[in-house]
Amino acid sequence: MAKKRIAVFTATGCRVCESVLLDLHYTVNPLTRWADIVFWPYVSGNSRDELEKLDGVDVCFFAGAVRTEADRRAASKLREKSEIVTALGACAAFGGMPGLANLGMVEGEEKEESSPLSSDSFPPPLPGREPCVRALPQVVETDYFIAGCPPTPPLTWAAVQSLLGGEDRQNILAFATSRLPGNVAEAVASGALPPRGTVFAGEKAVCASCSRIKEKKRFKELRKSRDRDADPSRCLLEQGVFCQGIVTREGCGGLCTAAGVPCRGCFGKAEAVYDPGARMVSAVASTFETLDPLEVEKIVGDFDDLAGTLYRYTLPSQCVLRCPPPLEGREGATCKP
Amino acid sequence: MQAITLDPVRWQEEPARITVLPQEKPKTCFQVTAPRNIEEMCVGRPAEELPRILSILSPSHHLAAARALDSLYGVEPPVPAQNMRRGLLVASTFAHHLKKLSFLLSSLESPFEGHHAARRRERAPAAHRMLDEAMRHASLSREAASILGGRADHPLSAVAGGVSRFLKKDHYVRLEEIAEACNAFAVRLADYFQENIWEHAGIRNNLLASGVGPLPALTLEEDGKVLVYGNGKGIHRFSPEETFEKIELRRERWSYTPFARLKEHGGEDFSPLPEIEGLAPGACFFVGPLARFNAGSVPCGSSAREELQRLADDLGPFPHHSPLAACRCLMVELTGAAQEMKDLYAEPNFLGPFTRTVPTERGREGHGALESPEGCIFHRLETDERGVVRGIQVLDAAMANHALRCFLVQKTAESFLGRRSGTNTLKKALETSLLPF
Repeated sequence: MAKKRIAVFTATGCRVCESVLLDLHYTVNPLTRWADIVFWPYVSGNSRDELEKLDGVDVCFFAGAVRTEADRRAASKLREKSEIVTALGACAAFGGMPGLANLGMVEGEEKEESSPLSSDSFPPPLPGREPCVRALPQVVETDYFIAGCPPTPPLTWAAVQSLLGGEDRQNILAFATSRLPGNVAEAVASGALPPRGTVFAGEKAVCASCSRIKEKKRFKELRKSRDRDADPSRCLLEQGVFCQGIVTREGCGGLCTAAGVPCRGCFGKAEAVYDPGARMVSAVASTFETLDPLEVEKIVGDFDDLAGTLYRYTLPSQCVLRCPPPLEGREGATCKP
Repeated sequence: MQAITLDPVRWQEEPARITVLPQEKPKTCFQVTAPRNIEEMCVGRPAEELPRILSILSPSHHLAAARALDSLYGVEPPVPAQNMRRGLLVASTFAHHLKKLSFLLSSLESPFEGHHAARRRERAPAAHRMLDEAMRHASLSREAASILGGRADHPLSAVAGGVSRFLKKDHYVRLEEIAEACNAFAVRLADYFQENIWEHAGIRNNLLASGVGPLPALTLEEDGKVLVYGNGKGIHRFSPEETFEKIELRRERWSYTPFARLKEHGGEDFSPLPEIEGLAPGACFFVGPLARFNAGSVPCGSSAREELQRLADDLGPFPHHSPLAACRCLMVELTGAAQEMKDLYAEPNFLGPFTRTVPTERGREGHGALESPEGCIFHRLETDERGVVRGIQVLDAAMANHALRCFLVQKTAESFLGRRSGTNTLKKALETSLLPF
């Protein structure tokens, strides 16, 4: 069977998503039995010019948010050359933490840059900033999503097997598929491609896999994590710690809550949720019983930085009120996946 | 004449571009081509969220931000928490240095260039085996970092006053196993590099051609003071709080990240563009492993000290100024980190339920400094009365040391174009010479 040709690229972001793939290569050595890596600048030293000359790519793993015009051009070119484009990690899938920069931007208004350098100047001019940070699906059609900041190795491995393995998949690992929704796990196991748009993660919320004990549904006051230690066995939200596990897609296995810190939503919204921030506000508001306006005002005043907390990883793509205007040809793509 | 461009540059953590105009005295530049905008991510967030937000830069920034919170709230972490934080830093150092050395090894025998594994094994069996082993042990050290930090890459556990969870007994046992394996591997790796890499003509030529001459070393001392170990201009010490009085972050419109420069060591006419005659790299500096050993740091453990002796036997006594010395310093610190993991993870004070001093007071300004695997890091944050961040300054002396990269690029281009080397040779030499910094 012909080997798949793969490309790996990071736009604006850290290199950790690429490192997850790098680790996989050695963990499940040899990945090169299935795939030829035809474009991977970080590891193989390919240049942007080589991207132009590429014959074709079967699967592209695109990490990082789209922040500069060079990022946007690379995304378009990789889409043009690739059969399958996969958003790798929270920045590509939802905008990630770089997307918080959008909170400081006025819609439609580009930040003023210092006088740009001319094209024949030395040093050469920098790629210009886009008016706002965008997630990959807001720029080009995206076929699959590997969520997480960073993505977990088991889910990345499941995606790699699913997208690259073809008929030659002897090494199906049960642990990799155990957290996937049934239809995706079946596709991975049988050798068929999962439905386009699949997120390689669970369908339910993080609470479904968080090991903390959930008893009461209500809490009386917001607890800042600096002020007190939370009980290590009980649900953080029930203790008044603003944990977003109830609206976040499952797949990490409750990694943050197990480490004693609240979930901040790096897997994006759960399948049944439309806007994770709105749902979170609604869920938290329903736990308070008071009708006293002064008390309500005090409770509201206890919350700091709602936008930056509720949409820490998803502001460009999943906040209905702050989604950037879609690019031409990408209308309607703003709130996916 | 046609420009030679590397865009992006292999093995660099930030998206970067190198341009070389080949002429009698080549014109070169190193540019970071994407913004990072730390302030935009941090300002407006509650201060206690900073360790998690800044962990996207590196595990060391996670720890430095936690130190800034300790200072903001006036708390000191209990001993088990201090050990856990130190344990995370040491595991991250091991993983970081091992990744760089693996990249150096893969410059000879890339596992990613479409060869069948069997063919690679046939052609270079030792390199193939060592690369596989290296990445397995990188995974092990990352597992240790996950145990201590909640996650290896963007850790979570360091919070104001300590860490967010205590270690379980089985974690403790696993950490000892990992440390044992990493320590034994570090010795094997050092021997392999001694026999096969440091004397390899191609690597040696590339790494020695771009030495930039004597530069000051910027490090943190044991007592937390910033040390600038001089280049003939004496030794300066100052407290981390004075960092931004002593180090300027200068913005140039042709690179997205600022250039750090030592104010006292360079004139006002500093320019990071090296082709301008008469502007010596006086304001540049070394950070990270090379700077630490140039400033007299003593590594932990007999294997590391032996490795340091091998370095001195090969290149002479410190200080050194070449990328070859910088790569060898990575190896010294890697063996030292492995030994420290072994010692630290066997420490009885590593366990215990008391891992946090809960803050009772809240200040308005906090500082955190840390000597990270890459180099010295400093955070300063200001908050309002609610504890929301209103201002932040982050210095990552390695990340902001672009002037040094510009000079390395210039030296490498001059050296290789002078020898009429081909474009591919020059590109490889540029990538390799920047790798250890």
